[in-house]
Amino acid sequence: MRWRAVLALTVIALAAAPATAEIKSGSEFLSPEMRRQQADETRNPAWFWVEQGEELFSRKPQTGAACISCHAEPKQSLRGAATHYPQVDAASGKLLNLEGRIEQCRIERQKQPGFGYETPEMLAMTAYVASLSRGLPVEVKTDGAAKPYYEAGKAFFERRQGQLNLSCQQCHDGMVGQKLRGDTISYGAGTGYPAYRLEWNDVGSLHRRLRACSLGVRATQFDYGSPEYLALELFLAGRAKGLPVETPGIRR
Amino acid sequence: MGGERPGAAMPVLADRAGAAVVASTFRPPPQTPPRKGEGLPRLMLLGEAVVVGALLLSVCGPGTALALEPYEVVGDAIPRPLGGFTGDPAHGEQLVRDRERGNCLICHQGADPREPFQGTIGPPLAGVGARLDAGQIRLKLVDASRLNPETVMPPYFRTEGLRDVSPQYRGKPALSAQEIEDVVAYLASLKTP
Ligand code: HEC
Ligand code: HEC
Ligand code: HEC
Repeated sequence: MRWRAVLALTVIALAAAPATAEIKSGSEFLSPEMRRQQADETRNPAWFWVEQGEELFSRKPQTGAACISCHAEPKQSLRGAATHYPQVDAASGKLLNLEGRIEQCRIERQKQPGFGYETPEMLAMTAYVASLSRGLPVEVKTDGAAKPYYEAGKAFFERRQGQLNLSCQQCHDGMVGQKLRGDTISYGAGTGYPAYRLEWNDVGSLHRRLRACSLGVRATQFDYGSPEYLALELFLAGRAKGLPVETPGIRR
Repeated sequence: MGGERPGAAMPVLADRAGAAVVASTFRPPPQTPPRKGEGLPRLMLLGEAVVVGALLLSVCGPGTALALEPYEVVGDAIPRPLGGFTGDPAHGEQLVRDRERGNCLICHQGADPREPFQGTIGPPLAGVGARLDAGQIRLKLVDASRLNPETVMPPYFRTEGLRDVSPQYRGKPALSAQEIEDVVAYLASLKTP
């Protein structure tokens, strides 16, 4: 029967399709003008950080190797790297996000003092490395060694917190598209970070955005790079699997 | 416990952005000290409050609130004013608009359409005084989750059963009993939709 054939084909097509996220990027909720600005390298201020990161990547410290001496042709060799973060570091068993991996290379391989989270250097380097994956789908592992971290992030996302007693999920699933003051609530995908936020008048990391959301519900702000936010970042990335990396993004 | 990292804006970049900085919409409340009497039951003398607080702390462990004024839920309402206070509707209106204290318009459309950037998450507040009586409004403010466990409406007079409350707010209700009464008085006066 024909409908059966059609059905079978549909099933095959669905099974063969790459895993695509059911959620949308934060930029889909921006005004068309801001979306154009994000896409235009000459008008997106965050590209300034990317350029600084690129420059830093080739700069040789007085002692030790430049990043580029180990990572030659970064446009090819590091293309796609950011799509796999956060990931469990094979050596330590710890969850590392892109900032964590860069800091590890900086300290252990480049033998330099760490940049430190949220410093202009770390932001520039992270924005640069992530920008090399622009357009590629997020592809983090959420099973195996990553599973406990993913589950911890999911539990964090789903539980109510703070004096206002709201979960991330209540806003970023339940109220997507609604107006919270002037903001349109998105899925909280986080695929554009580090991003330039008009409110910050600066580029900031995903963890800076998470700290703003925590404070918004009057909840504990965890530290930059804390286990809590790392697990949450993995959960957000797992949820955003299939969405393209957009770094450097622009946000309100 | 730091707040946001202060924006390390580079002037060059601000120019390049070329965009007007849009007013913050989800701004963390600054650490304003509470007004005199806020957060503490006003009827209590300070000494008593400290004693009660110390007792509670020793019984219930850290993070536990000073005693909140007790109230009784009858059906879907708290019929009697918290602490026996009389509400001041003008102050209630201020609290509803205030971006730090009440910040209700982040989620609700208020009675004044000229107010910019109002939320669309809760029902519009215009006409709420015709839909609900003062006791019903009071329960919605105190702890709407008693009526609907899934509610998004935050509890404004509750300190128990909350998780990871930031230290600056821990153990305090979002609004004091007097402030709840002020807001109730204001909302009850909004009769026209
Ligand atoms: C009261 C509602 C609310 C709660 C609760 C909340 N957020 Fe947000 N969040 C917002 C708003 C509003 C924005 C800015 C607009 C947007 O992109 O959604 C935002 C932005 C974000 C973004 C940036 C999205 C982007 O593309 O720029 C992420 C990621 C995020 N939130 C994650 C979280 C996480 C994780 C939690 C829980 C710890 C959380 N939020 C809790 C309202 C909320
Ligand atoms: C001495 C050589 C060396 C130097 C210098 C070095 N790296 Fe690395 N880098 C490595 C090696 C080896 C790995 C693979 C680590 C692993 O997978 O466990 C790596 C991994 C990475 C990754 C992750 C790639 C992926 O696909 O997951 C990034 C990103 C990175 N380095 C960035 C940098 C940056 C930025 C600098 C300069 C601050 C730098 N590296 C300096 C050797 C180096
Ligand atoms: C995070 C979003 C949010 C904030 C902030 C918020 N509300 Fe609400 N409110 C809601 C939602 C959603 C509802 C509807 C669900 C319910 O009644 O449980 C609601 C319901 C109400 C109701 C009942 C309205 C009706 O017609 O049934 C009143 C009254 C109310 N809110 C007043 C306030 C006041 C006053 C404030 C500030 C002190 C405030 N709300 C802050 C989301 C919010």
